[in-house]
Amino acid sequence: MTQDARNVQIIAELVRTVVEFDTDGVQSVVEKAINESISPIEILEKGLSVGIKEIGHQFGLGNIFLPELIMGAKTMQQGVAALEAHWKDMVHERKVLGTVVLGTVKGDMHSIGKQIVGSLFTAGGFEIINLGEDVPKEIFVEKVESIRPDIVGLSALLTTTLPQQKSVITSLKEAGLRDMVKVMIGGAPTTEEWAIEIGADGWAPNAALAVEKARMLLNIT
Amino acid sequence: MAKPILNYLSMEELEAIHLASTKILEKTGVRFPYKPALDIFRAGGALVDYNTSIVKISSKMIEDALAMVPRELNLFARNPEHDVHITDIKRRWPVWGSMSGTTAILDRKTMTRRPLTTKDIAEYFTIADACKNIDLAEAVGTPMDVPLNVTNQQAFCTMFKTFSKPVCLTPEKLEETQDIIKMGIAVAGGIENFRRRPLINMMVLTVPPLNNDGNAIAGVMEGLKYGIQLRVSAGTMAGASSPVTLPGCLALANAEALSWMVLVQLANPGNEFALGMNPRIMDMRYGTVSLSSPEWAIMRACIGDIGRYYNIQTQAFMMVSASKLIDAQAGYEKALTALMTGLGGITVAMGCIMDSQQICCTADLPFSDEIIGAVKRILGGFEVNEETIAVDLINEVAHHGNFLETKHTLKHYKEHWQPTLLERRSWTEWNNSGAKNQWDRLVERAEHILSTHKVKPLPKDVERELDEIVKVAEKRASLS
Repeated sequence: MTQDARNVQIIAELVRTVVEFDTDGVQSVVEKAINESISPIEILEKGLSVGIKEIGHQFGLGNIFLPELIMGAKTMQQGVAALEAHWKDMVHERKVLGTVVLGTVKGDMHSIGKQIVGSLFTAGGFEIINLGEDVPKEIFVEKVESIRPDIVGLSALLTTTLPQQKSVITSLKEAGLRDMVKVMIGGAPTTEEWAIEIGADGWAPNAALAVEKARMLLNIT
Repeated sequence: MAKPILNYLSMEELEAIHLASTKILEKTGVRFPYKPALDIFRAGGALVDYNTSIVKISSKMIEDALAMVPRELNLFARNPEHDVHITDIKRRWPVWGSMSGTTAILDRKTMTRRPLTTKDIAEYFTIADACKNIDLAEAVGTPMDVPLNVTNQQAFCTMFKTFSKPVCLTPEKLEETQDIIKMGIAVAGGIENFRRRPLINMMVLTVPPLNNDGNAIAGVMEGLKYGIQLRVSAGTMAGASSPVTLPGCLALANAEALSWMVLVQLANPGNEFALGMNPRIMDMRYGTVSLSSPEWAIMRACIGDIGRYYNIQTQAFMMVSASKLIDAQAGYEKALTALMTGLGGITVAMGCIMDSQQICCTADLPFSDEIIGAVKRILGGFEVNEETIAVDLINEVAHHGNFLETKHTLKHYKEHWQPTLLERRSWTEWNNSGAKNQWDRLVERAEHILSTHKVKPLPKDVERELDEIVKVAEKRASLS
């Protein structure tokens, strides 16, 4: 077999590993690709990313459900981590549709909705940085300043923590960062009216529509 | 007496679930991020890590707490005729209540969804007050025409004015809880009256898996100072905040609920308490909470089993449809879950809202009321004896008579349930009187209640006091 044919085979294996959400096997497949001198960008863009796009596509069709989607996103993330271990600079070369910082606001411990959103964003070709739960507004500001994401997503599941979404936006304004990032909000008690009231750039009632909205905000066709 | 009892879980299965819960509590524990609660746990013998706020509880502590929980539950209302006194674990049927959590209402005039207002809450509770099968209520939701920081206070202020049955508070913040207790004291006519007959009962929601909200804990502990009844609700979500398999979902919820039982009995020995859970599944297609699924219905019965296993009063949510309208989906979702809850023998059953807790509707109250009526009839059973078998009568009427004209029928026919909102006439009669559907009849009923039902108003000075508490809370919130 020629090197080219072998590379094609390994790339196909990378795609399949993500499509079959094989979290146990992905690291060794990535390492096999690295050993065959396939470039990290190819491993990512022709292998892992193609796999996760297919996962997203199948989810959209209703052929697979959340557990498969999340496992697929996890496989993707583990594959990327295995790549980054070899090429620390790869992060900067990596083409993503956008960087999204996600967090559940201060006083709120809920994480599952945010995780689903994160998985769908990953499937959609975005890079996700998850700040976790109970995140004070100062941390959101700090991360927007240091990471310069395209989008910051604020999650709240309690009516009592909703006001925090407004506080974060105010803090971003005060820090002179508001115009540098698109703010999206979400969570069961949030509404479009609330998003408009607090000056958010976007809101969506579910994870899939959140990704669509993000694409609209960033002018991605 | 012929009576239905539904046992979903066997004794061995209940044992297994109980043992699993004790393992969870001993090995992993539950997080209670509120120092006074941690202090109480530690003084009671629990293993407490003050850095992580994790409390590990032994089986012995669970047994001791279980022995201290009163077997009765008392719900006091501002109109004592509406008091509820539960003394028996094996009661005929649950206490039924309307729950909270909504931010929107389905407008009965336009059949469209819009933000919930204070006026809606007043209408809602006037109707709930008139519904015979609704025994208590939470504040139904968050009025969106009020500053966010005082929505709960405003909701309770309105509820106390328009609803004379027992009210339930789910503490979310300490100051808010203090405000609402103040309202309860004002309505009771002073602190002595309130301590004797607490006009507020409490519920607390855990944050699965194995976590709690510190502000909620603070609020509950404030209530315990007054001896207010607490019903915990551990809302595990199968596949998301608990194992996807139902026994795991139950075991985790049970562990969380037991941890609250221990805290309450340590904080105030003998405080009334109900072991409540809201285990549900996540719809894996849409990522939404699925409250009205068959799995939800099954787990209502299992909660009842667990309650009988421990010989303790229980609470569960039910009758929360996923539907956005009062339609056929809402009908069978509410009926199935109400029935399973009743058959399962739950003590306090809360629900009567829609869109998986996001929407309420004033027309939903007579709808829910009617369904509960039918379920109560199913649970009510009947006597099997000479009089009811009526063999002598059968032999007397024999081959050509009819039973409609007998004294026996006259005496007993009212034992059958008579609906007031269902269509049972001939097709022609129905068609000639407007061919109305269920929704039309519900809206009519809601409007009729609003125009005829008068809730005894509170004394003017009490109403003023309630308004004042809201005003003070608003001022305090605007200053912070």
